[in-house]
Amino acid sequence: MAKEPLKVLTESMFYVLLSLLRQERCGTEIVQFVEDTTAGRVAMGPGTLYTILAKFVEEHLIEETAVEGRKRTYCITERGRALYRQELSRLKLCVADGEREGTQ
Amino acid sequence: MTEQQTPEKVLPPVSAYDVAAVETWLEDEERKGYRAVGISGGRVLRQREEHRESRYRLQPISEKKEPLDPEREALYRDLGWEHVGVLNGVFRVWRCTDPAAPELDTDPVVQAEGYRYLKRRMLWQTAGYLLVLLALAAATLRMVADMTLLEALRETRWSEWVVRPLLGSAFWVLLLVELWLDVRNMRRLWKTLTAGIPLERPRPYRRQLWLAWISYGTAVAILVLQLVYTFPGTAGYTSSSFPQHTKEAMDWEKDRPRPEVVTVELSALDGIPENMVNWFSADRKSLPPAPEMYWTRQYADLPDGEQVFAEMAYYRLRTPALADRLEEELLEEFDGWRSWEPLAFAEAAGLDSLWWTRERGAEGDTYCTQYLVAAQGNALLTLYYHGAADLRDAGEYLAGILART
Repeated sequence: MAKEPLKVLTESMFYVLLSLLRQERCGTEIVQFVEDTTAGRVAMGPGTLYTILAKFVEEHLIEETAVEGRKRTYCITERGRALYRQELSRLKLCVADGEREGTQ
Repeated sequence: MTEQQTPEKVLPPVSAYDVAAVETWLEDEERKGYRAVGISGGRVLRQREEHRESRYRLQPISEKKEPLDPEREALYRDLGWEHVGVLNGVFRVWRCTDPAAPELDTDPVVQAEGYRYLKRRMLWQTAGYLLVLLALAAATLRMVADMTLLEALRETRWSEWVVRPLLGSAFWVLLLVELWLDVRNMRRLWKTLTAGIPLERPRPYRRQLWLAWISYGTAVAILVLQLVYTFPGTAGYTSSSFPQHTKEAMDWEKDRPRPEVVTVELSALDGIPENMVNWFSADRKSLPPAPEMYWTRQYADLPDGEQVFAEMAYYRLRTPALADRLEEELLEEFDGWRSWEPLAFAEAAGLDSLWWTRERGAEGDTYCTQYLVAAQGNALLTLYYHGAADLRDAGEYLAGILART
């Protein structure tokens, strides 16, 4: 994959970072977390998850912490947290803009 | 399953770069009872099983010879997806039989990220193909340019002027169209995904199917025709050692050339009776730059034991410029005949030019071997002759032959 730094996160990317904020998780746990947190609103396919994980590792937003058999566990890095906070602020601004303009 | 089946190898009917169409085709195949059990290069290994509803998805590889990460496989399997194989070395094919399982790719923008390597690779590949095609074109043109008109007239045949260039061009167009279609499909896919739009499925592929069959049929037809026109003796040509690819022009019942064949007559040159000519042969050929060409050979054994002969080549060219060029080449070709006197221009009424020579040391001999190149308008002939006549005196006779249409 070409090294193009991420500027804006997609919804799936955002939730992957969110899932790792408080604890390390493996792939299936991330999928489960996203499903639980969004009540199924955000679907996380394995292809999407795997591509995001690879991209985030490459970008040093997350890193592997343990490998047990075929299971890998990931944790968020400081860089990942910063990007998460930046994205959260952007989303808040979006929501604020939307609410200010009205919901009609 | 009670008995082991041998999987059947089939080519997907559409380009692998039309991702959604390939996925739809695989799903349709499974619905018809053909399950993909593996992939070998560009072919899908399928075998008969029960009719099933399954989802197939293609994912591009992210690096050259990317190994399948066991974690990835396990993760996919946990979420209902199994690995089928790698198509064309560039797409991993996944299958899911659980309708409740999530889609493989749920975020088009992330999915587009996965195509970066393939996009880059395709760019280089396309540039490489185009370079190869250009190199082949240049080599072909160089080969054609290096050939003299004389060589072309002697050694080529009609198919090489008309059929083969047409077939070659058709093949190139076909390759370029296929290349363009692949690039276009990839570009569309990339643009769709990066815009955040998921791929449309199922994607009808009937049109692509027809196009693929037409393309396949055309390629096969072109190759077969190329083969037919490559081997001598095929496509209606008789083989002949000299000149190549000529057609028979003899009327063997009369042991004479057919009436339409233009030829000098040994009897007219030498004044010997026609019935003394004991061997005659003739060939003819027609090519776009020279619609009429004849080669005749005749021999006669004289009572004094001498054998006289006349070997003629006649060319009627399409234009006077071509005739001039051929005349130059014929004169240049003669430069290599070391045991002959230099070609000399001889005045001859009714001819544009007459170049004549004889073997060295033949001066004063009753019989001598001579050679001439005579031209008139678009037509010219060469005559290799052994006999008692002086060909320089035959200008009027040769002019009459060259004037025949």
